[in-house]
Amino acid sequence: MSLKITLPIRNTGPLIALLALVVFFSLTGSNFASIANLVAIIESSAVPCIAVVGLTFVIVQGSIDLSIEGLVSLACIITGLFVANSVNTHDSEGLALLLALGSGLVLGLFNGIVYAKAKVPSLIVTLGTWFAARGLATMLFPSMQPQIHDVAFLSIALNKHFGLSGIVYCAALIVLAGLVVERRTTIGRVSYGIGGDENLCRLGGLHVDRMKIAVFVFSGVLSAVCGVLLSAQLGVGSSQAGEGLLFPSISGAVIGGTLLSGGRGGILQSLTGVLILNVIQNGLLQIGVDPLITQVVEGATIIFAVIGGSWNLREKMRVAK
Amino acid sequence: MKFSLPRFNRRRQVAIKRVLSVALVTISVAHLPAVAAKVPGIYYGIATESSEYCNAQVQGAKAVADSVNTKLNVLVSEFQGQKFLQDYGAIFSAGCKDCVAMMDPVSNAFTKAIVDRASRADAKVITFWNRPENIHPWDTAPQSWVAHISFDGVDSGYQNGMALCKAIDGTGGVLVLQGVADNPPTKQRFAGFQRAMKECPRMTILDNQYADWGQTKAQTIVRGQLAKYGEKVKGVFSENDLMALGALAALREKGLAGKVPVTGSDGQSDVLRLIKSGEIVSTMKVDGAALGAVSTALAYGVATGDIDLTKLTHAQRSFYLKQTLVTKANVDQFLDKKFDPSQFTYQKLKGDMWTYSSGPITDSATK
Repeated sequence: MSLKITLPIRNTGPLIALLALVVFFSLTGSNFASIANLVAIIESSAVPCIAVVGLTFVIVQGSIDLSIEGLVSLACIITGLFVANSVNTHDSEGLALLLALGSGLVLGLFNGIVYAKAKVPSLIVTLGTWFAARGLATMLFPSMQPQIHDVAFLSIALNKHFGLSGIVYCAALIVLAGLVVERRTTIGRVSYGIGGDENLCRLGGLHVDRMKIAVFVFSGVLSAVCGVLLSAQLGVGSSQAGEGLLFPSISGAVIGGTLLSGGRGGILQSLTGVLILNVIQNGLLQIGVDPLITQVVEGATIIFAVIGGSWNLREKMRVAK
Repeated sequence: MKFSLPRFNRRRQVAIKRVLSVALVTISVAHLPAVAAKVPGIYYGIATESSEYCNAQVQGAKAVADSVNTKLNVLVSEFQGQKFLQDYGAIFSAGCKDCVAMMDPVSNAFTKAIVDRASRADAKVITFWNRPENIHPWDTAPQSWVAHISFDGVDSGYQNGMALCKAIDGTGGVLVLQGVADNPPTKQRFAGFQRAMKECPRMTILDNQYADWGQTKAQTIVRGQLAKYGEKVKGVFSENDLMALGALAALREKGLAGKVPVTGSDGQSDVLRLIKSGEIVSTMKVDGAALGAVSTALAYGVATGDIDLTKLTHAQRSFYLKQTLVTKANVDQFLDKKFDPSQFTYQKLKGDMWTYSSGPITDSATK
């Protein structure tokens, strides 16, 4: 009898690449492996991990959600304006959360309906929503950036429990919830089917359109959660908080093995990719790479990490030709 | 169908018609501007509408535009020079003789291209911040490129550097957060900081990173730097206020806000409040409203002939605007200061367009 150990993710290449990077930077950077730095990596990865959980379901279905940045920015400025702040007299965490998360839900629903029912490609509709949400965030900007004064709200980022902030625990809970949805629910399993062969799913009588709408709603709400948490992390309501979040989310998912063509990958793979990117950025800082060539080195490291981690999958990697 | 008045006597009919005529003319004239606009259009370009500094520029430009009864058109680059090249290119190619355009080209790479398009259209253009050092308004497009205006980044870096030196008692390692690598303000502010370091030789740079002017990126970078350097970090020099806020957020996570001094630049209201509370040491207050108003008034004056471009000196065509270092000692003067549009009318500025100037731009400042 042989004991077969099955790792929770099918392709362990990216995981090996991540471990290799950790070892490399630990050996070359004196403080990389310190508790303080590992905590810094985890804190910096928390918000992108939340975004990538929602995005993973969308990508697994073979679609894409580009509206993340706009939704994050919108939720961040809404939060900043409705908790106690420096520019108006609002002071309601409940209302702030309702409006911020509601904006993500409504725009996610819009994305899903237009994509599923109106058959507009997800790239186009979410591109439009991205710009629209960013525009709404700009419209809400009150001529000066609101500083958040709500101490209880800020405590989610500032108070530490076992060395980690509440944002990390939020991210962990969301990841766990995402894994349960991915592996234990119909929507999770059918998403792979939709990504693999949508017509077959329809012929099998599955509610494909409803599944599509649901994952976009999920992605929209999680993007809004990112915006709310960023407002606590930054201590301000920023209408540009989402800038730069799209790239690490999508590329993290792809690097980890969640293919843009759909049907493959998953939350753990996407998280691995996000961690790879954050480890690279942090590691280059720790070993003192010249900041002028940091982006060059980052790009090269990503390429080699993906080559090394996904060598056996290169024919199946139907990302682009 | 013929309109006829009720049956009044002839004298009364004439009187009624006269009253109706005068009323009609009065109503139509009331909707005309008091003075017709003298230029086809005023086009003011900003980086983003999500910025207090950019909004202040628009306020200043609008005050001038309103005073000359001309609509202000605001264009937004979203930090993409290519977008401005396309937007202004479209405006200029449609015919824009004597129209007036002001903008920050976002990057040196786009300055000459935008100026060339303005020149072909006979428009009057004023640029801010980004200009390659080898080209100037008087030698590149002398009839169209009215002026280049900026704020002295070297002075900002120097004064903030000296404030940081004082805050750390002259000794200690500091983190430096720079903007975008090839940006003139980035290079100037760092050059100024390096001058401060010469006068404060025991202030050393622990680490120097580019955070692209962004708050979130700055927070992530400083988080990592605090993990790397720990208690060696005695201060943070940030080239703008947003990055300073990001650095402060990272310091707060470690309980170091107010203990590790931070400097910024721009003079945002929220930073002024943090200077008052002691969590930020200093910022260089740049007057966005003055920039918007002075540039608009100057370009308008040239376009309408009130100002003879050929008679302007180099110092009048390439100059810095005044700026003020804000510290805890003087922050109260700037807190809650309200914008007064009456200070920025064209008529008021026309008396001396350079009243807000602090001197000519020197190309060798960063060398």
